[in-house]
Amino acid sequence: MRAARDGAASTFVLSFALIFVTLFAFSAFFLLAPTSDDLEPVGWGTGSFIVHLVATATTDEAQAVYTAVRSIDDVVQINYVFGEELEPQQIAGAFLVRVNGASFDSAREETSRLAAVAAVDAVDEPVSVHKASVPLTARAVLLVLLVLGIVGTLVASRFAFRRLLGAFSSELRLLHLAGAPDTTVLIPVFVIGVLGGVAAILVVVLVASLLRIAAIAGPDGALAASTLLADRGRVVAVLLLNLPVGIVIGSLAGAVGVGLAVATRADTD
Amino acid sequence: MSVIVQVSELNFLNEDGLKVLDDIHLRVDRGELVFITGPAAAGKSVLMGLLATHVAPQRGQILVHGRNIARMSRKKAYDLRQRIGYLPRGFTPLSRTPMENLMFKLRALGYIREAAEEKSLIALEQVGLSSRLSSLPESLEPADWVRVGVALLLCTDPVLLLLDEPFADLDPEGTTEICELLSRLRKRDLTTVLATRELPPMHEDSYRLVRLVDGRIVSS
Repeated sequence: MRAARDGAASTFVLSFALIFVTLFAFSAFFLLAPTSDDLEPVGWGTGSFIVHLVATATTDEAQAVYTAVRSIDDVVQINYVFGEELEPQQIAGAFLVRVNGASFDSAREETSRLAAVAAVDAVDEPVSVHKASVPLTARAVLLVLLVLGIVGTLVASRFAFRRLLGAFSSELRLLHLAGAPDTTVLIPVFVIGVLGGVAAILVVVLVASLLRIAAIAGPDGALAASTLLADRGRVVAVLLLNLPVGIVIGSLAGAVGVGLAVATRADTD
Repeated sequence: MSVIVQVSELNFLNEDGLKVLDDIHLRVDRGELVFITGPAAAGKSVLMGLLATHVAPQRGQILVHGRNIARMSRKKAYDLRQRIGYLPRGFTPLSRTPMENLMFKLRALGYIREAAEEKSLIALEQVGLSSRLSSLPESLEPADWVRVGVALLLCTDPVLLLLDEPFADLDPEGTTEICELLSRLRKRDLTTVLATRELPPMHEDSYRLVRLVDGRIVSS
């Protein structure tokens, strides 16, 4: 009996560790720094150019630049591009502007005058501009980790709950005979799953905080260069995103336990 | 005298379609001690399971404490189970002390600690275990385990006790002890239905005998 309970506990630890792996992979999607290797060009090639904003441009200034570009004849499309999409670690964004091909030169000339505006850093043709992103290999590894984490969590939870219900079978039978409502058993089983998710979230927060400290204070700066951990806002946002994800995965694990508990109860009838 | 159990035209088929119970009619009044006897596979345990609401009825009517089991919702069946004390065949209490067994059940049913302790003490006293409240499971005799089982039923003030083969693992001395316990419970106007293969050593006037053979009541 004690061995069965210990076995259930160790399987639960494995299950929670897998939720952690899932959340870690999920977080890494957003916290790995994009690189400019083998990247695709941004923009529409011929017939378009890019208006770079200065790093200190305010929202109002960016709005004013947009309005100025919009007022130029033959501009058919304007897209805002974040700095990181242009170059890793770049803060300043830019407007990608497409004009009617026949009027490109005149539009280009008019837009060039925008370089004199305080909020505009430069006006370029987007020939050498590349979109930065996380390398495909890293993305594939993270995706595999994510899928394995979720599947592994559900499988491990099933084993853990089966052992747990087996270890407490006498108690469950007694409750069943006593006429205790289903919720007496099902709610705690579900809560165990959710608590596993919450525990995994807390560990992710702890690990992310430690990594962030290492990234900021690290002597060689390698961690800061290969991740976006130095960006406090991004780290907080990613950790907040982990909350619902972790709770959903924990709830799925709990639901697996509830299903087993219902089946066990049906067997004793 | 009020009726606690009223069974009419009860039929039951097993998974293979074989008849387990055939046109059972049975009435048990308050304060009665009824022994259902019969050979193996006579249908005794199925009948007990039906009365305890643990087996879903197929055909016929079962009224327990005035409630029709066949038409009862799941929730109401659980509520009724709290008023029916059912000790199935082969039941073993938890490997804890008698007091802990009862406390576990009562706390799970929502009783506060003080009320649970009070009810546990009363029930254990009724079955003669008040001096062994904290005895370790290993030190208890098989008859004591049956007493713990009965105390588990008594602690929720049931209207009906259903005991399935409680003498199965007992020696003659243990059987006599449990029979004495049943006699005491009967004097307290508690209704008990007991399924057993062999009749225990009790005075014939103290119980009513129902004989079940091949799913039919042959004498009552």
